[in-house]
Amino acid sequence: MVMVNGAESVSKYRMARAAVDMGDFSVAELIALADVPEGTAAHFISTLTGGHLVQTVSLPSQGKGRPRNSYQLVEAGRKSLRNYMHQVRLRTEGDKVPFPDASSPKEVEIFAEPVMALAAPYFKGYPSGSRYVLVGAVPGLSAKDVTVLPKRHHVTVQGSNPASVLPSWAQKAIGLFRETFIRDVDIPADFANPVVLRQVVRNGILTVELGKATEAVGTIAMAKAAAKR
Amino acid sequence: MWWLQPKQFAFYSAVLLDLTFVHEYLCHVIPVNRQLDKDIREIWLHCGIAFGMRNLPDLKSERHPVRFVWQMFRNGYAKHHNIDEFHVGGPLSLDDLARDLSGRPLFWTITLAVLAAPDGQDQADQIARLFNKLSSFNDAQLDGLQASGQTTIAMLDIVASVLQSMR
Repeated sequence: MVMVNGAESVSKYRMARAAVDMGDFSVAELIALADVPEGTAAHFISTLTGGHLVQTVSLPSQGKGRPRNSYQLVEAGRKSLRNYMHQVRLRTEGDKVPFPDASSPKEVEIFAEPVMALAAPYFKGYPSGSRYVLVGAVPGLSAKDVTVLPKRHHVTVQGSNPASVLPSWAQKAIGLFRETFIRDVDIPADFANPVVLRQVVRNGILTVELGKATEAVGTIAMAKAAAKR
Repeated sequence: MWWLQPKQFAFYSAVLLDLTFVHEYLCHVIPVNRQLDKDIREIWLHCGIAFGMRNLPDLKSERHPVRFVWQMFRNGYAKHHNIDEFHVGGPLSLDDLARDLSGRPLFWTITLAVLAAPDGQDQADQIARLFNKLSSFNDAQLDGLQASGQTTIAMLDIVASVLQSMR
């Protein structure tokens, strides 16, 4: 399983998204949109500039300060950042189908992610007989920290990290994942509106067994019949 | 239902009040189907507005701040509602599809079909499946779909046949 670095990855992802959404942007806009320090934004822009992924345009001077620059994403830059975003999303959502044109390792290289701690839990689903099983790593969590909400076409898994009682510097040091997470995991159409039959956390691994909606009807009918008897 | 949310992101929506109403109207009021998937409302239908914003006849100096404030609003809204960082803006595959198609006749054809789709969960599910499949299409497959000239959500069948023919 490939995992991505936590805080750094989120910042970089935010900056990539802001750059793609804006098309052209200043350092100040990137800082505001991605909520990152100036140095982080400047480093990101210098990476883009070095890779010839942006064009630098001088903006008209306003007052006495230094002249400002605007950075316009060129087509190769837009593609590169979109691919990077896809790669990050694919790593955090192993159940997603890759976008058809998303795999171009060379373009992604500039924004390659180091393999490090888990940024967000990764869930994998597979059919097992009449059940559909979801498995995901939730290190540090127990069953009571995790909520599984079945929806029509996906299952929402929510969790709260007990480490959030620690001071923020300690949480950063642990760096496993944020205080809370919410993941939507797609499920096959024949398991639409599933019922949660079993949910356990053992050795940091969450296992959820889902049954078909009809199974719930059967279970309820059996329970009613038993009650009548 | 509308109510005042005295949060930071609400400031940005107030700045772009007309755009906010356009979004609410197109994405949440007009569609006949009340069960449409959130991503289809927030990404696909909104992409029609984004296309308009990108192509406003105004000066670039007027368009740019609008785009910036809209992004600030979207980010603030997502943060307030604890939307996962990697999910702000919804699935990238659908976002890419909408961006790539917006402005092309096929985009408006699909958009009109979505807006006019009758109410009901089954129809909403069918549309969700349609977009799921469309998101995996390459340009040649999309051209094939456009050439078919279909205008209803029975396009799901057409999508399947296009997939078949591309194999």
